[in-house]
Amino acid sequence: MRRIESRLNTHSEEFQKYRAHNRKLVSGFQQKQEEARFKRPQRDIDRLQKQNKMMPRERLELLLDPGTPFLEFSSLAGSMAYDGSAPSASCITGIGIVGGREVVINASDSSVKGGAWYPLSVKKIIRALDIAIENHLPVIHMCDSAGGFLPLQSELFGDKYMAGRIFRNQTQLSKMGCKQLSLVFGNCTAGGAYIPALSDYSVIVEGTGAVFLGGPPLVKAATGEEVSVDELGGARMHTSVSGTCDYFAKNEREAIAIGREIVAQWEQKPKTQIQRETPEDPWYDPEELYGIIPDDIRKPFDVREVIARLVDGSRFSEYQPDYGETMICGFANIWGYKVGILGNNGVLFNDSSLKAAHFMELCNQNKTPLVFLQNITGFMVGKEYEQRGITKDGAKMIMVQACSEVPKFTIMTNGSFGAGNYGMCGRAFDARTLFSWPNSQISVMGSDQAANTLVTIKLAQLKRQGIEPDEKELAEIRNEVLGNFENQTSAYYTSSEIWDDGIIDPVDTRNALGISISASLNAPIGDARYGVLRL
Amino acid sequence: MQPKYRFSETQFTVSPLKHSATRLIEIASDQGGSHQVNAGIRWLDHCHGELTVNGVVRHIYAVQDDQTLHVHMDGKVWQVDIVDEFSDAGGASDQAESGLVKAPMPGVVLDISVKEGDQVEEGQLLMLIESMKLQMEVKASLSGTVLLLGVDGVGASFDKGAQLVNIRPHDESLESGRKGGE
Amino acid sequence: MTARNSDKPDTEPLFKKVLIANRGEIALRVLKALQSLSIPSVAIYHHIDRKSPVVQMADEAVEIFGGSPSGAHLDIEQIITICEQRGVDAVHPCYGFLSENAGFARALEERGIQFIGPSPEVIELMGDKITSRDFVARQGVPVPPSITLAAGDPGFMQAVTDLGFPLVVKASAGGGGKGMSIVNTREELESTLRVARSEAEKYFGDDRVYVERYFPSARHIEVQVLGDSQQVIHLGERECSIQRRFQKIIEESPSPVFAGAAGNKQRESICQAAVAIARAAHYTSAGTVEFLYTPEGEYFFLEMNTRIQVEHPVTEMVYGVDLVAEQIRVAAGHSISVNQNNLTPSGHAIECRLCAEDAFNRFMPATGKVLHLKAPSGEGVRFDSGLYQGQDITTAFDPMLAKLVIHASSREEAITRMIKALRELVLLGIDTNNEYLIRILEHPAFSSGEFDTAFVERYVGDLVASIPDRDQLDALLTAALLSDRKVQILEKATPQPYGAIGYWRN
Repeated sequence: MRRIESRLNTHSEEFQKYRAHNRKLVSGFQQKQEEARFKRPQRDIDRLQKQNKMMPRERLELLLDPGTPFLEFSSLAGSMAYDGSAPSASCITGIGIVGGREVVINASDSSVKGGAWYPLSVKKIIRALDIAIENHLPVIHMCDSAGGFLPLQSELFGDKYMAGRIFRNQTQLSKMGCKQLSLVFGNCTAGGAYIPALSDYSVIVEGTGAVFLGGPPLVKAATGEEVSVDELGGARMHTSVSGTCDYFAKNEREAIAIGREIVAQWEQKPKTQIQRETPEDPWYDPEELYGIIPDDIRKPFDVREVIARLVDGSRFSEYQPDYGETMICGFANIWGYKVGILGNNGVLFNDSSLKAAHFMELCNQNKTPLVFLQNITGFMVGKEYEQRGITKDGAKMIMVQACSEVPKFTIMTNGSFGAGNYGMCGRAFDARTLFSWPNSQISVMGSDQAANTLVTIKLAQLKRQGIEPDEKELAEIRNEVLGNFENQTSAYYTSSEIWDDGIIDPVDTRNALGISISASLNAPIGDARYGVLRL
Repeated sequence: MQPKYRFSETQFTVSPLKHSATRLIEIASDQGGSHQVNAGIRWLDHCHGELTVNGVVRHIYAVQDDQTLHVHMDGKVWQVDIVDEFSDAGGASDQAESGLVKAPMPGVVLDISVKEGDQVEEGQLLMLIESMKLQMEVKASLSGTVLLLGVDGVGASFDKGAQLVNIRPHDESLESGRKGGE
Repeated sequence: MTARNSDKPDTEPLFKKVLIANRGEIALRVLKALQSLSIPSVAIYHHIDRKSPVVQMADEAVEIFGGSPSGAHLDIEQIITICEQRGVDAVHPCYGFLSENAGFARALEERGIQFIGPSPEVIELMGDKITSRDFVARQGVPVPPSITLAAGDPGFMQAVTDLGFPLVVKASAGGGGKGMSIVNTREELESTLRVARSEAEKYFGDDRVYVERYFPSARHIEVQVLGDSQQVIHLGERECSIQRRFQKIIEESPSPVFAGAAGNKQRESICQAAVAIARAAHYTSAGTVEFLYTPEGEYFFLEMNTRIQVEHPVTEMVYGVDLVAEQIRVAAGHSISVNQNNLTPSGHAIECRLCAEDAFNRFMPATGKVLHLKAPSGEGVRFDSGLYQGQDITTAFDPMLAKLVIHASSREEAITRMIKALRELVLLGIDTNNEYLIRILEHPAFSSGEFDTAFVERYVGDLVASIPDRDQLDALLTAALLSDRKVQILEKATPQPYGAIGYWRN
């Protein structure tokens, strides 16, 4: 495999400009993330201390093995919802190493509204468990939650992919043989009680841990019985009388120690073997990524320059380099794992769609995972292309992509508009993990197009009401629509709504992919099979 | 978790950061400050290795005994204790220890001169202990009442650091904790 | 003293079977001498010593029983019974335990078993500090001023005042540095006498103590003597002033104090005094006469040890003589294989006693386990130890673990090689005085040879543990991390690429 020859001039004005722009975006993101992770009202910090509870991230750091990474998901979930009162959607999820085992972590953040479940909290937990199911990973739950956030109960209870799905996922994990451990640090009330109950192993902390279907106030209201939290569902009772929890811990540290010991004796099933070599750092400096992505979503860039800063040794074996040139396909290694990479250099035409489909078939045949570097405004439109069957060709690409048996990983590096999102494995297509760069944008059509259309619609609406805005009002309307639009297409909105698994610094992409690929190999890779391809 | 060790009264957090061809390790002390070192080890047998830290090569011998690591390096023996992050941090307050008499060495009790409830003066002989043919008098570190004897009786053996006698100081207000002049 | 035929031919084995009535390094050393003389050996051992080298290597080994391990080694009847059962015709008592027990020597004699040492009468004479002092004084050898009155006697306190401070309280039945305490003021006297009595009763079964003038800045010089039925010779002096708690920790031969022509004369004088004493006592076997040597060049008799001493290797390396083998020959009725005229000392030897203690913290005894042992080696390096891998070091026995002895052509070279050997010695699992010994050897007062028995106290401020510099500390903590079993297990269990990515948070 030959090294990509970068044609980038890292001293050019353009490079410097882009670099400054992206560095600013990244530091803005990191600041938001820092706040979401750590900024808490003093009274919440005090409350935890008085209850003798550790801060949730302290628990996490104590749980994880030394010298190992932790890939956190959706740190900015809920950041643009609920008036910002639920940072990180009051929970922490991710993939880490405990006792040498790859595990998915689902931890309540009791420093946020007592760990209460907002609708997005439920979605985030479900997503974490879906990741566990798809990748056959065990799960460690760190339970400390006040339960569902009552004012928003209608958004988190009744539907198929709401609270119940958490417990349904737990049962499926168990059925698959993926182990679950619950460390009960606080309340597990009502539905929440099922998390430890449906876990294979559970540890409960004396004094603070409590598991019950109804808490004392509810019990009193329902039957008049008066009982304390500890009597009703405390550690002593559940570990010696009811058998609902397995291990009694005097304090949180002991609980974590017991948990680690439990995990350390879990079997380590053999992982799916794919081609693997010794890892190597990229030859080009990943920091250069900041200077590659333009400051304007409409400006193009060569995705090969991005690939060169992501893959081992910057080596890339390009597939069909002279055909379908708006689609870049090729093989490379990431952290030693052989992967097939697809990246966009423009809109998708017939040839590029077909090339992508064929390339993905090759990868499926070879059991090579797929990595999608999204920067796509869509498929080519127009009479010539329709006649040549661009819709069919796009459909073939989507069919092969969606039926792929190999694990898929998506990075939203820039734009993700319209059907291009589908072909390039957007959220609906079950990438094992999907991350966004801070500069990325997503919407059903390109921003200019969309903005203009929306303004047109708004004007028509006003006209029906008999209003004719003047120049100034027109400009205001345009700005408002654009503003809203930009808000809703930004990576922050995407991440807040959990349409991705988190925003990441471009420089962190390599590690995120390496961990994701490794985690995915806990599940088998099926033989290639597709639906009907409209030829 | 982060590996923590105690050496010579100071606690250190020694975190492995990266492990590829060599290792990157971060060392932080509880007195503040941290720095990173590049290290590698080539084990010649189960306890003899060639350690390289920031380019300097040393031969080391290292053996672990439960929670203590014994290391021979640079011509002398060092002892490093492993700190258990998962056990309760902090022990008895200083004030509670003031009346505690601990064994300065492992040994056996030869003679006990006091019993529980006795009033003792600072410097008073409490018991006679012996270790490897070295006899020692154990004296009261302050005046007070003998709360309890930590050993069963004459002939009982104990480890270094074992509580031999606990004396409740006459000065009841432990907060001020001082006798006489401030 | 039993008459022995000193004309036995050398071709017959000296004894049919010799029992080694001891343990540890000295038992092993005596075994080596027996092996060199092709004499079958019997080792006795308490259960806790069952894995020790001497037990593994002796021709026969018999377990002994008792209330305590030390107690078992002091059980005369049991040992003699074993001798009779095994057809043992001689016993080597080594040092400590029954080596200076006249009753034991006598009991063996009565049963026709040879005691490898001097006669019971000589043991008794020299075993009692008071009678031995008187005997030596009668030979015209100077002895230190003392009080022999009991503490309760009317004239006692006056005698103490006359004697002057500092004083040393000694157990009458004591020896080997045990049962001695210094008294600096009248106030300390009472409590010191109490502890001394208690120790004396416990260790020697005799609570008699006496009070002697203490010379804080004298040197401890001792002379090795060897006697058979015909003659007594000396094998030079040993310098033993480096002591802690009256126990020697570093010994050497020759003593640096006897330098030059004047020094040689002094040496000759003191050695002849020792020979005179031994001769007067009709001394046979190996023995040591201990003296106090003042800065003024005066010497006083302290005591005579009627046994092989811990520090005998130092003399052996300088004179090229196997003292234990000589003991065995003499006990078998032969004459010593060397005589005063053909004895030529060469070079310089130093011995360091490796002890289980926290030397930088008032020498507090330490316990532990021998987790790893790697002895130093090379030319002129002798490591006498009974240590074995996995051995539990408890408070049951003496804290001395081993002896490291170095022989070189000069004192300076011996010091250098000793420091090197101490640094090479790896003994993990127990606190030892290794670094402390190195501090002494590095000290200018030691290398200049200008020191006395107060050395350890005088330079206590200099004899401190080294503090690691930043690089050493880094190396130590890194070594700790990489040897920490739990951490290494986790590291091995960590799947790739997590280990290579390392500590990272997005």
